[in-house]
Amino acid sequence: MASNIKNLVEKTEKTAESSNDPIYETNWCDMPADIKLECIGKMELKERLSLRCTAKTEKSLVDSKKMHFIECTFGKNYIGFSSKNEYFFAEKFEDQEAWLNLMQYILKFGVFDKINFRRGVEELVNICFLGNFSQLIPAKNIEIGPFNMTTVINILQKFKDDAESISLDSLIQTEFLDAILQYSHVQNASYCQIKSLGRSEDIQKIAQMWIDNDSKIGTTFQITSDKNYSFELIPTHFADRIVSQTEKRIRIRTNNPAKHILVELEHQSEEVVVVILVCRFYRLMVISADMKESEYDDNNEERMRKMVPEWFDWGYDSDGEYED
Amino acid sequence: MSSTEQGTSSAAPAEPTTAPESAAAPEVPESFYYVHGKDKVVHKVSAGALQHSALIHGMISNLGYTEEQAKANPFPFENIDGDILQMVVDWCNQHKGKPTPPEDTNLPKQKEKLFDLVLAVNYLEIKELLTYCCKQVAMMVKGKSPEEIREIWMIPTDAEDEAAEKEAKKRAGKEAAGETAAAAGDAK
Repeated sequence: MASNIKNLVEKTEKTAESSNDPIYETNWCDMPADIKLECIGKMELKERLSLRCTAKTEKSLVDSKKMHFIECTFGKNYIGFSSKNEYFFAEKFEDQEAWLNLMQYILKFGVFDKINFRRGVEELVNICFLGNFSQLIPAKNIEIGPFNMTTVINILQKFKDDAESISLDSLIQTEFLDAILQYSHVQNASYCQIKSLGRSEDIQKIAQMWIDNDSKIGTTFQITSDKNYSFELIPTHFADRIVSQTEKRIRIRTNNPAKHILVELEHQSEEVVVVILVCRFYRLMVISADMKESEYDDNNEERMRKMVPEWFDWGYDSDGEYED
Repeated sequence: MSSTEQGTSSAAPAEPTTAPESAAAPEVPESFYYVHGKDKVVHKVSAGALQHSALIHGMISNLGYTEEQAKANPFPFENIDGDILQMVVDWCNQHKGKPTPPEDTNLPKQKEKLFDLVLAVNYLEIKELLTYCCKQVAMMVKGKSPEEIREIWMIPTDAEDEAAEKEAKKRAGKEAAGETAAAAGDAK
């Protein structure tokens, strides 16, 4: 009894002594969930992944916070991305499951300004998307391929259909455009490009889709194809809609009197003539019906170079990297 | 005014501390308000500095206090430790009327102190400072493994969580049984 009282007195004295000094006992677990999420939002990928391995509650918290990627690329044997706080590059590690988990995490919890699926990852991407993706992936700009058409569609379907731009490579698959135009992703995008279109006579279908959907002014489609005959077929398809026609440009009416569609066979300068010999560039665009011919954008070389840089710049690897 | 009103840096001064003024003197006389934390030390802060806190700004915007009324009615923040409140007041003064920089290196590095600051700043609704604090919290675990993070932030493992939950359930069950027995005893 006496010792108990002694202990109590000691304790009280100690408390009194230290009462002027604040005692800091607050820790991560005392933080409200919204503050934790704010902190998680400031973490880089590695720390997020580490935190979600500490406990179930932390895992679900981390997973509820989307991560913003400025650009993310899945390439053959690598994943690279840049975000506001970091630049990340990982070469494929031997542990296949861990690699797939990383891919899945990024795809499940990422919000992308730009996402690229490059040559060599087709199989992995298909396996990755077998996983449970309950939500559609948000991305402003999507670049896919060159892949098999089924894979392209499989990937597209995992994304929200509000991307601003979509870049595809059809690998000269003949049914490619028909299949792709069915998807709202392509219908809604303000810019689309398809490389190596198998049947260039199909490009009239793009114009028809825009007419049917009354697409916005500025909506643009760029195509490369090694075929040359479709441009001549446009007037046949739209005989009653022709506004003007030259060797390189055809302007057609839409059902909306405020909008026209301009179809251009990109003309070449001497510098790029070699490229043009093996490839045709087409550009389709919804324009204002008031647009004058003098307002047409003739700076086609820059946009062709941007679309297929590997054909213009020696040493450019189509995976987007310059080789030494 | 509370009899415990003190200066901020020492216990001696009887008058509340005056916040350091920004270099440019305002043309119109600035109004001041008074706040105190758990330690009852009163801080005199200009309305301009307090604009950082959405909570206090909302409280004072319609008060129309005179200097005397403000002095006589300091805002009590009993849930905030004195030195944490001091930090907040200092930050508000330093950034009064200035654009907030992208980084703030003056935040405490001690984790417990930082977490207390986070809670205070969150309560006082100081958005910019909260952003800095959260960044600082995130930096605490930069490059750390799950085990290291668990140790630094004292995160219980799932097994520990489950054990604690079981223990709590057990205790609640015992208490409920005790209450039932007591109620039965009363009924008899």
